[in-house]
Formats: sequence, C-alpha cells, structure tokens
Amino acid sequence: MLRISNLQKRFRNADGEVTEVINIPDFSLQENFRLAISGRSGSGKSTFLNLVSGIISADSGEIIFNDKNISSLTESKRDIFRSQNIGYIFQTFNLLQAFTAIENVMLGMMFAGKSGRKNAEALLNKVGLGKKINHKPAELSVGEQQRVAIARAVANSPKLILADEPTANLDAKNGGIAIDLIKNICEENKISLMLVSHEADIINRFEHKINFEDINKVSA
Amino acid sequence: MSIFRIVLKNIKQRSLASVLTVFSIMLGVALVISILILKQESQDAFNQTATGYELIIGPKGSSLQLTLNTIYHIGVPIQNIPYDTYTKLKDDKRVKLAIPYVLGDNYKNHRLIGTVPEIFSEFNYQKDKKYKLKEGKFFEKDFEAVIGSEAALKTGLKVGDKFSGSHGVEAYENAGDILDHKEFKFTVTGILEKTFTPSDNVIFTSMNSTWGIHHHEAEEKRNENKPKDEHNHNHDEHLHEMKDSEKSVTAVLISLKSPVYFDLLRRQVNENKYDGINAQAVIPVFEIKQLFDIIGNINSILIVIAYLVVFVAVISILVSIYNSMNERKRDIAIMRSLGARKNTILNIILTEGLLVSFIGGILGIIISHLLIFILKDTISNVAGIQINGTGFYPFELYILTGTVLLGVFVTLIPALKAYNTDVASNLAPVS
Repeated sequence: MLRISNLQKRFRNADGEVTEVINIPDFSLQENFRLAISGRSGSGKSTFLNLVSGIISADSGEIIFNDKNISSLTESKRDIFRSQNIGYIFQTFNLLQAFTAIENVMLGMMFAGKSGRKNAEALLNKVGLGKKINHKPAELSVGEQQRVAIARAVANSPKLILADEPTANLDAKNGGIAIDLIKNICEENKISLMLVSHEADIINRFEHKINFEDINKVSA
Repeated sequence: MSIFRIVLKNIKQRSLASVLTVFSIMLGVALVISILILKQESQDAFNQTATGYELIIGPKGSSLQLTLNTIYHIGVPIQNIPYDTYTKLKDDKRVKLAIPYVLGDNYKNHRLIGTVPEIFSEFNYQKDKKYKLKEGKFFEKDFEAVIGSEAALKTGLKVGDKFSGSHGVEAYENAGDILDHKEFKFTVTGILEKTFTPSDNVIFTSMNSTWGIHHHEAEEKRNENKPKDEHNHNHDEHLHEMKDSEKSVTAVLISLKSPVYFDLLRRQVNENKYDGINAQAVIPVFEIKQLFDIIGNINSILIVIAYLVVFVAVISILVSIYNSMNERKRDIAIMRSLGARKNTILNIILTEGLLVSFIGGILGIIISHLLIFILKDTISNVAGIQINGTGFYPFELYILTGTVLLGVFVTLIPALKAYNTDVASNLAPVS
C-alpha cells in the first residue's frame, strides 16, 4: 500500500545551516497492517508522518501510496489525497475548541466531501462518548478529547491512520485505553496504522515494531 | 457541517470583536443612507410641492427668496406688490387661476395667509390635488380661518376656537404679547386634511382680514394725537374703508390655460412689458432645481465624508480579522491536516468578511430608515417639508453591494495570510 524510496527532507535553520532530517532509502507498509515506530524525540518521526500525509513535500524521493506518487502531487492535490486516504491523530489532539465533539468529527468528513451526522454519532458512541456529542473540548477530559480525535481520524474511512505520539499527553491508564481503541478500530475497519512514540510501553503493545533510526539514515 | 457554519462559529468565537465591527459598519452605512434618503426625499418633496401651478408673480428681488417664501413658507417676504397686479393677472385671458397670498401675521409661528376662497374650490396645490377638509367648513367671512393639519395639531386649535394673530410672519422670542393683534379675533371654521406639504403648517384666511388688521394699526398710529372721540369706530369699518390702491399682496400663484403662454407671460413680466405690472415672474420648479444645484455641492462633501466613514468601518473588518489570524493559525492548520484545501480556508475567511459587512450593511439600512422615521417631524418642522423614510431606493442596494464587495476585498489580506499558513509548524505541540 505504501512504498517509500530515497526520501529526503532537509531544513534550513535560523543560522542558514542546512540540516538533513529525513533520509529513508527504502520503506514499505502493507495494507491492513499495524506498525509501531519507536524513536527518540527530535529524530524526525513527526516530519516523516507529515511527508507521508502530504502536509509537507519532500526534497527528493518517492512516496507511492496505492500506486500514486504523492510526492509529485501539487499541494492542492495532496490536500485531496489526505482528506480521502489519511486519518491523523495528534499528541495534543488538535480539536477545534469552538466546535462540539460531533462537529469536530463531522468537520473532517466535510473536507472529504462526505456528510452524515448519524455516522459521526455512531463513531462517538463507539469510542464511549455517545452522551457527550454536544460537549466542547474544554468540557471533556483529556482522555475523552483523545477519543474524539480518534473518532475524527476514522470518520472518513481512511486507508491509513497516522498517530503521532497519541498518548504523550495522557496518563498510563488513559494511554492504554487510547492505544487499544486505536488498534481495535483499525483492525475492525481494516485500516493500516503507523504509530510513532518514544514510550516503550506503548511500542510493546504492538506485534510489529521498528526503530525509526533503523529506517532513517541521516548523517550524524 | 458547511463553510457557512464554520464561519458562524468563528464569528461567535470572537463575538465582541465581531459585534464591534458590525456596529461600525452599521453606523457608516446608516450615515450614508440617511444623507442620501434625506437628499432624495427633500428633493422629491420640494419638486412635488411646486408642480400644481406654473408661475409665481411677486416683488422684484431674489427669485429664490420669493419661491421659498411663497411655497415653502421659509424666510421673510421680499416686499409687497400692488393689489391691482393681482386683479390684472386674474383678468388676463391666458390665466386659468390666480391665487393671491397676503402675508403679515402669524399665530404661534404658523403663518396667516390672506387669500381667496378659490384656493379651496379651484386651486391644485399639487398636480390634480385640491385641499380637502378634515372637519368644519371653508372660511366664508372675514376673520374666519381654515387651518392646516399640522398647525391644528401643534396649536391645539379646534373648529369654533378663537385666536389672535401676532405681527410678523414668524413669532419672535421674548416679544411676549406686545405684537399681538388682540382687538381682532379669528374663528376657526375648518381644519384641512393632511397634504404632506408645507401648507400643513399654515392658517388660511381672507385677504380682507389680513389687510384690515394692518390698516387699522396704521390708522391708530395716525390718530394717536387726535382727541379720543374723533377716532372711536367699529373695526369692521376699516375693511370697507380701504381703497384698492391701499391694498397689496405678497405674491400671486398662477395657473395657465395653456403651456404655450408660460414663457410669454414670464418674459412679459420680467422684461417690464406687461402694462401696469412692475414685478417678477419665477418658475418655482426651475428655482428649486437651482437651489438643489447649490445644495448639491454641500451635499457632495457630506456624502464624501459619509463614504469615508464607511471605508474606515470596512477597514475595521480587515483589522479585526487580521488581528485574529495569530490565534487562528492553529485552527487553520488543523483544518488543513484534516484535508481542507487552501482555497477552502481562503473561502472561510472571505465569507466571514462578506457576512460581517452584509450584516452591518443591512443593519445600517434599517437604522437609517428608523432614524429618519423617528426624526421626520423634527425635519418637517425645521425644513417645512414632509419626509417619511419608509421608501426603499435603488441606491441603498448599490451601497449595500459596494460595502459587501469592499468588505470582501479588504478581507483578502487576512485571507491570503490564512491561505499561506504553514501547517506543519502550527500543528506542533505548544510547549
């Protein structure tokens, strides 16, 4: 489903120095596959997810997603690609504070050209927030906020969910619940998952895991 | 979920700033539309009032002063013209109707106009419109009066009431009753229906009544040094004692039998070629047009100022939305990460500018009409014309459209900033 070759991304810092952040010669992910990626903070894991989702573009290399080279798409087409294929779960949940739980879920659907309040309600029911669909993020606990974010990520029936440190802001108990929820939903819906985390406990909950430094060959 | 709903959420989230922006646009639009409605309605009112007759004949002097004084009852009369000017014009075969006005007195600031009964039976104050009675009857004898609807309302006079006039076409403050003609009592015989013209504020009586008062006063002055028994007499005698040569009128309204006489009669009078008449003939519609040309220049300055106010108000949309962009960067980045295209973000911000300027514009239109409706009586009192503010004019639609377009245009600046928001850096956790 996902095949990456010779992917490179560099950033210029404030002093004008160019730093290589991503250098992945080869990487692939099969359909309906859940993978945990460990790695120290600042190793470029988030940048890698942003490249895969098309939020940023690569300096060179290919990202082939279902036979489509997304690294060659325009920004506008990458937006369309992302809305139709990718679900994103963030460390800080990134919910819109002015919107209720159900509106946050429906927002993602809207950008993909989909609608369906019933579907959004069913998803929130599934993550245990059926009675709090009209609550705004500030009225929910951090664990509940992350569950809204999980429902939102699944709402468009994506082929791949990218989870960037999804438990970093949660305590151990809620972190465990969130990971189980993400895994279960992905398995039920046959969605592939790439989850990055620096927490060993989280990584160990997955059958398939790799160390990010093993695939990212940046020069030291 | 739709773009419109997202926009409403954004506006609600910054409710204070949004309300203030809408309020400033509302004020600007209300100012422009109020000025334009006042201009339009006052021009219409002036034009309408002057369309029932073709010419005004009066003393030589300012033609505008003659027009304003005769039709709108504004300012003082120039002088008087001899009574036989009126009789000559009345007997002129080209003249369908000649209505004289004799001014000199007022009652509580409402002018007393001495005239002839034909003003009620034959005269059209506007095209095909005659004075009608709301109650009572038209005057038949001297010292009977028919009062305009506004004059009745403001003075409280009713049919059968008696009153004394005061000297002068306007009441003088602090004059007390020194100028009152207490010896002469007028009786109200009728109250006119509302005409929405300056005539609503005046009181009509016979010419004899007006002449009689002033002739009597002149006689009294002449007789001051004579022994009392030599000038004891009945007031009514004065009305019959006056010779035609002693009588004068302030102006004559002329309605012609045919439009072909219009320019001929005017030239004859103005070029002193009308035998026995030394006066001027003015075309009221022409005078009013000239007046509006002068006022138009002042009006243009006011309108420019008002447009500047709208412009500044619309700029407040730019300031308000632009200032909010920093706090909205994260929301924009989240929407982008969910798949929102750059154009969608641009549309959201532009729609916000459109909605704020549209609401402000609509409220401005409503407020301007309300304001004029509330102030219509005050305007009527000051300007002597009827304005109601209930009509809708095409320029209101143009101003609304212009405001909205300008609102959207200035919103382009923050919208482009939103369009170019860097997604990755704004999604990063805030430490």
